[in-house]
This record gives sequence, C-alpha cells and structure tokens, in this order.
Amino acid sequence: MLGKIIQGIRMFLGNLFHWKDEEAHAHRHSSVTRINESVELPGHGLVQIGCRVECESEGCPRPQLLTLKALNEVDRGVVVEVVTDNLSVVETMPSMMDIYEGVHLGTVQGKDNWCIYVRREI
Amino acid sequence: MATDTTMNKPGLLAHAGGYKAMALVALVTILSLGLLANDTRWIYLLVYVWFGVAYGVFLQYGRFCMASAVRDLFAIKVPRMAVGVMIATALFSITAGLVTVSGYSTFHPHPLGWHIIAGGLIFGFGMIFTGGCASGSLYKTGEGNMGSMLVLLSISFSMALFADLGSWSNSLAPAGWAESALEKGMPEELSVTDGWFDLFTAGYVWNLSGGTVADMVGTGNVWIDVFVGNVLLTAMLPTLVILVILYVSTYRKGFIRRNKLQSLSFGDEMRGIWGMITTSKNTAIAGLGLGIFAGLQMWATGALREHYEIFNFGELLMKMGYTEGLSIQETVFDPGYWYITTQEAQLGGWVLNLFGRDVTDNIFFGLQNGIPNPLINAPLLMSVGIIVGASILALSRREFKWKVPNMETAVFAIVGGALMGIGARLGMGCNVGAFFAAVTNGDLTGWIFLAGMLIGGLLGVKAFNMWLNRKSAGDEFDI
Repeated sequence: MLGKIIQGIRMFLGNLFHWKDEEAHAHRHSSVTRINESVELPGHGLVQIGCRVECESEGCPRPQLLTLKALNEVDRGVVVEVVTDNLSVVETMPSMMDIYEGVHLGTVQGKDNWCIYVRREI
Repeated sequence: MATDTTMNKPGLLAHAGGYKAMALVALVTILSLGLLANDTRWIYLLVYVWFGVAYGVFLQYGRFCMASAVRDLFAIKVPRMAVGVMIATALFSITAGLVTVSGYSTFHPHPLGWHIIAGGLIFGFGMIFTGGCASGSLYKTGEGNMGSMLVLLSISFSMALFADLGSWSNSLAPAGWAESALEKGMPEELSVTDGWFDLFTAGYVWNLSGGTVADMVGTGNVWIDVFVGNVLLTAMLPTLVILVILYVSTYRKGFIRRNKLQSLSFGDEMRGIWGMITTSKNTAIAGLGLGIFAGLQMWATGALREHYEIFNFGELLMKMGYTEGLSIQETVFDPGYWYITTQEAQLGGWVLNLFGRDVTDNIFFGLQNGIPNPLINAPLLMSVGIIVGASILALSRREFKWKVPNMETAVFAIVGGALMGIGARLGMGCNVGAFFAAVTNGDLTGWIFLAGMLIGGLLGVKAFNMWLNRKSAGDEFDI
C-alpha cells in the first residue's frame, strides 16, 4: 500500500510539474477509435466491437458525453466499448441507454477498470 | 434487452480486498473497545463513529451523490441519481417523523433568508467541478479517490478561513449589520463587529426566524402535526411532484420507444414511473438505510443525552477532564444527527490554530462550535467513519482503487471545494445538513437550498461543458 501511495504522489507531482512520466502522460487525453475486435459477453456470446472509447482517469460527465458522441458517429448495430475506471460511469451507462437510442449489453470488470459494452439501436 | 453482466465478483474472502475490509472492521472494533475500557462515557463519541461507518457503507452502496444527481440530470439528462435522492428523501422523512414524535429529535430548523439560496447556488456551482457533493466526496475518498480527498481539505480550510475573515472584510457588510450585532451584547473577546462572517451571523442571521411545518400546522396532536406537516406536506408531496416532472421531462420518451407504445394509458404511465424508480434501486435502498440509521442516530444521541443529563457533548468532555478547544459556552459542535461540513471546518480551524492563527475570536468557532482536538471531535470522527465504511464496502466489492488526480482535476478539486466551503457556511450547511436533514425534518429552507443548488448546478454544467468543448480539441477522435 505504501508503494502505491508513493507512486500516486509521484504521478501527481509529475502532472503538477510536467515531468515526463509516460504513465501519467498516456492518461492525459481520451480517445475514440474504430477497432475490429470481438469479446465474449455472457448472454450475448461472441460480440464484434466496432469502436472503443478510452476514458480512464476521466471524471463525469466526460466519458458519458464521449460515448454519446461515438454512438452518434457509428452505424446502427455497431457495438461501442467504453473503458473507464470511474464507477459512476459504470452505474450511469445502463440508465443512459434507457434514455438514448442504445442498448447496454453488459459490463466487464477488469483488474483496474471496467469495460462497458453498448450498441447503437437506431 | 440490457443485461448487467458485471463479472469477476468473487466471494468476500476470495480476494485480498475482502481481508483488508475485515481488517478495517476489526481495527475500528478494537479501537472502540479500547476507548470503552478507558471510559465508558466514550460511547457518546462511538455512536457518531459507528453511525458514520454505516452511512459510509450505504453511501458507497448507492453511490449517493447530489453532484452526480444534478450533473447527470443537466449534462446528459439521466435522472437515475436524482430519482434515488428523492426517494431517499421521502423515506428518511418517515423515520425522522417517528423520532420527532418519540421526543428524541435533535434537529433545529434553520433561519429563513436570502443566504440559503445564495449558499446553495455557490455550493451547487462548486460541486459540479469537484465531481462530488459533501457526502459524495467522503465516500469517494473511501474508495481511494485522492481528488476527493483534496476536495475535503479544500472545503475544510475554505470554511475555516471564511468564518474567520479579517477586518478587511468589514466594509463588505451593510452598516446595519454592525449596529444590530452590537445590540446582541456578545462577550468582547468574540469581537462580533470585526469580520464579515461575524457581522453576517450576529447582525443578519440572528434576526431571522425559522420553524418546521409541524409547528405551523399546530393542531396540538404531535402525530398529526409531524406526519401531515413534516412528512406529507414538506417531504412526500414535493418529492412526488419532482418525480413526475423527472419522468415526463426525461424518462418517458425512452419508455415509449422501448415498449413501442403509440398512446399511453394511466397504467402505462404508472409502469413507466415504476420503471424509472427501479433503475435507481441501489440509491433508493441506500436512501432507506440512510434514513433508518439517521433516525436511529437521533434517537441514540437523544437517549444518551438524557442518560448523562447533558445538552451538549462539551459538557461530557468537561466532566471527563477535556477542556481544551471548547467554545466559551463550554460546548462543541454536536448536532446529534447526520451532518457534514461544520466538523470539517473545525478541522481546518484546529490546524490553522496549531500554526498560530487564533480562530477562536469569532462566533462560529469561539461561541458556537469550538475547535476540539480531532481525536475527540465526535462529528469529525463520524466523517472519518463514513470514509472507513465506504472503504470497507469498496474493498469487499473490489471497487477500491487509489486514484491520483491529474493537474486539471486537482485544480477543480481545490477551487470547487473552496466554493463548496463558502456556500456551505453561507447556506448554513451542505447537501446533507441544509437539504436532506432539513427537508426530512419539516424545514422548508431545505427546498430553498436545493433550488439554489440546482441553479448553481445548471450554471456549473454550462461552464463545465464550455471547458470540455475547449478541451476536446486535445482528444483523439478517429472514427
């Protein structure tokens, strides 16, 4: 735990003074990219993923807004994978799909993050 | 059909987090037993600690956060958290009503004035940037979010400094406040005409009055007064109206689309509202738990006060030989119910005092709340309990993660937290003390605080979106 605290302080100071910490730098921007991968989802089998929204270390509502933007851009039926370490995003996404024209297929918890799978319906 | 397929959820003892959670429970238990072995009167303080742990568990379980409620509603039009908070409010009002009827309520209504809406507005604006309200920042700290920790520190020190504003701020107060403050005949060491917050308190707030709707109903039958006035009129009916507004303005369209309905019967509408409520199930369950425990805490503290024949924890501390940090009335902050922010201000004041700044010459610390050592500050230990409770559940659910804020998040945490602190002092509380506890105990000022918080939240979302759009230029959008 002490090691993690020291690593955390190092990352924070790295950001503060713009040290070239690769890990910190890698997480500074979100990205939305087209991909062609597949994933096994319980209840859905093998699902083809067409787009990935990477938004680790991002606070709300940025991941949700990026997801909506991605869903607007992809074709109907395309599955979008949202990668986040923000639990609020994990909780909000299914409700957001109820409001917007999409379907929440499932959420998979990884070691340090969650992958949320949503599909454009209309 | 949406399917929740959150995987990899092993049993409690199948992962290290489960052991850490159990170790935390054991640590708090051992410390509590040690305190009781030292003096059984510490039970008064331990009631705060253990209720804090329970609140932390429920807050983390329901991810109960007013900032999320307001932000999700205005930014992405998702009412889930707002619905949960409203249901929690309705449920809490029932337990609060039962405690009031039993005669153990420790709640005091807030004075009604412009400061409530202004405080709510500033608080609401700030919390959009920090990403968490007062209670939300506590439970998120318990999940390992160091950004939320920064928010708490910022709230603590901004409140302490705001309550202890120096002579330079006197000119910002209307002249009438100084005259009115002088008329109160306060002890000289408080220097009530020196510092904006003292002038505001003694010259403005003390001239106002407040009360509960039960007092207004005043039939003489305490059951009718409390359950009609406080529960039905103040909490239930407004909550119902807000739920209907949320349904019509956000959820209904998606409900019609998903169910392929052409026209809606009354039954369909009811199914739709029920569907909206059940999507907020976790928050609603958390609200029910929070309501029950908040009511139980009022009852337990009231019973202990009766047992020890005291009105305030300061008296008990005096009897136990702890006199340092008490107010000049020999009291400390001791609300006896779920409350956040004043104890954090005390922490800020205590640290400032430690570094040589005398903060006891004002009304907030010197007369009302004191600055007791954090180790014997019962409400502050309740806040620590909330962090610990949230950690216990987060660890056991594998949701604990040390999250280090980047520069942007850190700046938002500090600036937003400072605004939340100022708003909380101006509005006499935060989303818990000024809204949740107020509304559920029949105090209409809670709804006024919420109105201010919504306006502030809306402005905050607009400003935040402008920032996001500007920042989006740095994103890779390759589809």
